[in-house]
Amino acid sequence: MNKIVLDSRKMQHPEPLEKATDILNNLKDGDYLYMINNKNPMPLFPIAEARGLVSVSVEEDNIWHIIISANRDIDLSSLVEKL
Amino acid sequence: MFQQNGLSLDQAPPIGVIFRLFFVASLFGVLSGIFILLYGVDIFDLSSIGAITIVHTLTLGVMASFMLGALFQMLPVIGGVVISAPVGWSWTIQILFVFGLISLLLAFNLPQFSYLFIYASILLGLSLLGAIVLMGNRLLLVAHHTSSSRGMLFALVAFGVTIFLAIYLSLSLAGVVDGIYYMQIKVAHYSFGLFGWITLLIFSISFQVIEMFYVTPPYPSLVGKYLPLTLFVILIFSIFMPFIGGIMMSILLISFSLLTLYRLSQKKRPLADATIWFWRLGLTSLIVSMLFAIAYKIFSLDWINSISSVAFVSFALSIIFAMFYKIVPFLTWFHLNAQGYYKAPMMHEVIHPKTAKKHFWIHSIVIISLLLSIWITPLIYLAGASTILSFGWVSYQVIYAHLLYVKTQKSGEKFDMSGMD
Repeated sequence: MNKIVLDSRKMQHPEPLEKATDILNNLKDGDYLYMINNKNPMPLFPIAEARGLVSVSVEEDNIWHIIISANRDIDLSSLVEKL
Repeated sequence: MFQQNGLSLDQAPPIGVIFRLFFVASLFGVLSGIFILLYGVDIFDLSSIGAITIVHTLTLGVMASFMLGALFQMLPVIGGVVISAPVGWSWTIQILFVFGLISLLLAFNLPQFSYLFIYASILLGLSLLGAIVLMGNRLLLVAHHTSSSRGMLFALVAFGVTIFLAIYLSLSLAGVVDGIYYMQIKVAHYSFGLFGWITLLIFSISFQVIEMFYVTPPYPSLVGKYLPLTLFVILIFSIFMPFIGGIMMSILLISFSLLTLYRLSQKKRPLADATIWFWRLGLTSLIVSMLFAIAYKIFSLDWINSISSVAFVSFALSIIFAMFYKIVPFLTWFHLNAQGYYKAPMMHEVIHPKTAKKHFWIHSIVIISLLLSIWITPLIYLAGASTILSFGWVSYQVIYAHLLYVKTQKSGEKFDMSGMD
């Protein structure tokens, strides 16, 4: 699996959502988006769903790890990494 | 903490609900500009028909419409609150509201038709109390309240009190009740409306959006936790002890404004879009309004009260515009993307930041010309004309966003989901 990282913690709205959506629009089967954000980007999940992607978000120490992929067969939460 | 799902498109109200409320708000804004031209500087006499007409056009027609639209959009995001049948509810609320407000404005200006106050009471009462019950009921059910959702709940309660008191006042003017407590109720009515509803709702929204939109440090947790209740207690205290209570309220609002301005100065990105300038203008206006409100309590000079009133209008409208320029592009972008249109316009293509910046200057001209017309009376016509331009600008942005949305839906390419099931 090819990881595409988006660390949007210092980005100002709406940059994180627009950049993440741009990545999702071009996500290939073997890719996954690994996004690190200050908030859980709630609007991103229906956008991922509309593209047939699966997503998971995990909070650790007030930082959100969001993983989105086209691969429905893997446990996305196992891809969460320690910062 | 582990979370699988976020906001679903089914939870968010249809985009037309919010656009329609915003569009009607902007039309009432244009009407308020026409009223400024018609009534001239009489509007600075707060007991005049002109002032009462403009105050209600702005607070109900403009501010309440924008705020109800913003609440329809924000409640699912902030509290996971889902309003079922939002289209039906919003149409019902809005039709009753528009006819109720027109009845009220006519009633103020045509005293020989005092029964219009009864129509206004029924229509606005049903509309606004219906909206409050609809939203407040759902908010009460939220399991884990945030500072924002808690504040919104207090603000809705204050709005409900404002409407109940307004019904008493209207029925007094219609001669249905004797109106023995008319003056006391009038003070409570505008205090709950201006501070409990408008100010508290804006503060509650700021808990959520200042940190999120502008990447600032969060508010101290004590502020978020206790500010809504503190404001509410001071509000009730000020009804019975207006001098001390009024000063306490002013100090509270000035303190929160200074804290928010400080937070905005701490944002991690140097980029400053127009919405930040609207926030800065709004919060600075609130500080000015409250300082002059304190001065008016001491000196009782009409021009001091006029400055305080205009500055308060500047506070509320500036922050409404700041939110408008965030909400409309976001909603257009979000709804199209969540429907799978991968060629949906970017947010800056819906409303360009430079368009918002131009509006900031038009809005600034409105406020400055209104303030100066307290002394240089012909400037009231500039204030009226620029108010029409300002809200005409807003209505055009809503129409443009709607047309762009429809155009993308008609011609845009979607992700093919046919093989996903």
